[in-house]
Amino acid sequence: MKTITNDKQFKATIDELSSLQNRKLATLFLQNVMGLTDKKKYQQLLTLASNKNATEQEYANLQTAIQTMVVETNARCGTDTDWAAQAEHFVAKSALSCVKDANRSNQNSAYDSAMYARMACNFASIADGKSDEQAETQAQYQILIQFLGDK
Amino acid sequence: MSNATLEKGINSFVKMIDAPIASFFSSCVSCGMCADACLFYQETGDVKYTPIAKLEPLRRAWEQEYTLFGRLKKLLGLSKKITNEELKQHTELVYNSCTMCARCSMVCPVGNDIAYMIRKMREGMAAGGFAPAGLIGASNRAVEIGSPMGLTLHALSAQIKHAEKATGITINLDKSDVEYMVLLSSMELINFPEYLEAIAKIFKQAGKTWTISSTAFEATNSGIQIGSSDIARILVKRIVDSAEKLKVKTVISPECGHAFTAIRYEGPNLIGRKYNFEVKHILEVLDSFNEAGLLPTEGLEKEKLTFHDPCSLARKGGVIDEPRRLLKKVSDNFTEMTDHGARNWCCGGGGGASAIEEGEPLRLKAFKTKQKQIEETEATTLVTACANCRIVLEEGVEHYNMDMPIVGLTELLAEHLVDKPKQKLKKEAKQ
Amino acid sequence: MDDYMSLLLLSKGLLFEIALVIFIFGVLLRLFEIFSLGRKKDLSEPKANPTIIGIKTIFTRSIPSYEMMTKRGFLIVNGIIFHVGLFIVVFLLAPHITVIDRLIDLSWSPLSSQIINFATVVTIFSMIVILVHRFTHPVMKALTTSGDYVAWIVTFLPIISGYMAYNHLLLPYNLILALHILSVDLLLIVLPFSKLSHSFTFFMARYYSGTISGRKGVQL
Ligand code: SF4
Ligand code: SF4
Repeated sequence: MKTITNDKQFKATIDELSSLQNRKLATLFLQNVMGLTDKKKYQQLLTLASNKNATEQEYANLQTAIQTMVVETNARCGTDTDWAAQAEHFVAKSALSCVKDANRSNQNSAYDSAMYARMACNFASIADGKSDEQAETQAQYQILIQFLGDK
Repeated sequence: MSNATLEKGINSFVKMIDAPIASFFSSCVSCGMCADACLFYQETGDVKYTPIAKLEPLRRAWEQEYTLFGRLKKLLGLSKKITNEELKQHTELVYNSCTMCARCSMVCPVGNDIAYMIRKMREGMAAGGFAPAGLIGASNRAVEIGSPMGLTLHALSAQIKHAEKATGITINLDKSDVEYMVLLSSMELINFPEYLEAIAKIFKQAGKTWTISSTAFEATNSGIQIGSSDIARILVKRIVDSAEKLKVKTVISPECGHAFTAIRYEGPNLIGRKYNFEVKHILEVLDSFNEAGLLPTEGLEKEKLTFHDPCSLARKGGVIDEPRRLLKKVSDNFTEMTDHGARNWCCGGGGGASAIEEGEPLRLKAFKTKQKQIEETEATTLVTACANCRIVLEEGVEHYNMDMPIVGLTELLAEHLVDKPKQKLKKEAKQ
Repeated sequence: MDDYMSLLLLSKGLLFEIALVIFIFGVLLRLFEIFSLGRKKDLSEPKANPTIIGIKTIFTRSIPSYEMMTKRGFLIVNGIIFHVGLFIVVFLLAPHITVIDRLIDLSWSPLSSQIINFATVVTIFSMIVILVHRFTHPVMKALTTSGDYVAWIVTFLPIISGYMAYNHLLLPYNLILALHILSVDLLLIVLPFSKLSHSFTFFMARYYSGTISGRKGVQL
């Protein structure tokens, strides 16, 4: 079994995956940080992800909805930052990576999703002092290893 | 608002008036052309958004105080007084519906710099307590916490740690005798932490030493946005003190356009002396790296790109060619909007306007001009160089259902950066 | 007839002198009012030479941008026609040159009276266009104050009366000439203190504006 202990390996391994695999993996990374937000928001996404017959059109529709979530949670210049909300914002960005058009090549959506998920953890740690980006990174390595095993 | 604060506001108007302002008011011929350059008039057709009209209280303060006839009229009790009511109405006009983008200043046939006057008028508005709540909150946080968005050193450290992990590059806080001191804007750190990673990568590749000050990392100057020179001075002073203590050669302004003009052009005047260091915008620095062959990139963007000039960077900052030279390094498919560079249209959120919540519907309406300009280019990706513009553009793009990613120029360059040993780079640069 | 003669003499004699003194005093006062306010020295490092760009802007701002031409082209062209026409009529008519010569001992060759006559008609038209604009264009209507109408009237009176005098229309010549000169006296008195002050302050406005953006290496 492959071992992944650093980001270089992590990225190189993801680079080799197809765009559909990228999308699947992206969703796994997202799921791992869903605790930082209201899970219900992403129910539709998870249903779609588990549906093997989902069409690109369905993804495109969802992309619009999630894009709205991203924009709505943007922090505006000069507003007092709510760090927990900002964590949710990055969860939304991670989710957005999961619904990108799979036909456009080299999207690297799994990697993006992972990075946004880590940022989300980082913001959560500013808010609660508990979340841990380092732990999330390690967890992501494990998710990738397991994903490769399941493949 | 009590009469005492009104008095304060009016006194501040009077104090702000200088020879340029007097010459501007003396020259206006009421042609109304400034309205046609202003995004808020352009998209609403409402005459109250005519730029010169936004300044009416300031104009009367000038007339009543600094012209013979105005004084006579005032003495005889014939002049129209500036009232609380009037200034309250002008809050919307000089803040929500003016981004100090200076587009109007560019078209006035007699040469009135209207944005210059708005900046001064805001001093009186702030002194009299007529500034919008959003900006008051932001400037209080800027003074107390060090960031208008409440970004503490603790939060900054978390972001630095994150960037270090993502890039594998150590970022030094408070390191003295380095070449550059990098300033950040809260907007970047909070919405686009990738910016910090990009900087780390690029500076490492260029072999330049840099640091971030733990006491003055924030470049956003809320004092200038709200119109309080006292607050603006405190914020500039923090940066100057840190830069001089750390003995850096150059202070780098983040992408944020207002931050740049604040520290670059207003700063020395606020503290009353020249700096012992240079101030450069990040794009000016990247352009100089590029010229020295220190910014090797590879690959070209697949998408068709266009560039949104942040007003404060282009029209009010003079950084116009740099982003274009940099963009062309990573794209051979770059098109300009009809009005670009010094003639660009504002995104609608500059000058602190984006911090005013109640201004949002108007902002979105005014965005239409930008929307049309973007759509005409048929570009598929919009590049810009200001985190605030970027958020405002994102909201506009979302509102008008335009499917278009918006990226920051510094990050875009970092994505194309190649890891090359320095020796090899030097050789290539020589060739 | 003689009555008109004395009125004529008064208008170009004592009244003209008084008007001239007020005019000169007014312009100097207004300039003093502006300059005495001063301007803080700018301590920021300039990106380009502000003074050079300031001076350039005095001239370049006369050229309208493409965008403004598409939006307000009619008004702009009309404005240019008006200012050029006014210049021709005021400074290139033989009797006007004679007056100037007498005052400051400086003269130049005049244009033929037909051309002046034509220029006057054009100028009158352009002024009517401006007036109609003031009544109808929403922004101009909102901005226009009584001061703008005063400026319009005191500019219009000398032109229309001058035209009538030149072409011997309606009134006895001496009377209309006297009225023409009286209206010029009025114009001289009002000019420095009205919206017409832009005729000598716009240099400064453009210059200041040019230095402000020029310091940043931008010429607008
Ligand atoms: S500075 Fe910009 S927003 Fe403000 S009045 Fe002028 S054109 Fe309008
Ligand atoms: S464009 Fe200039 S002269 Fe015309 S109304 Fe506006 S400020 Fe006055």
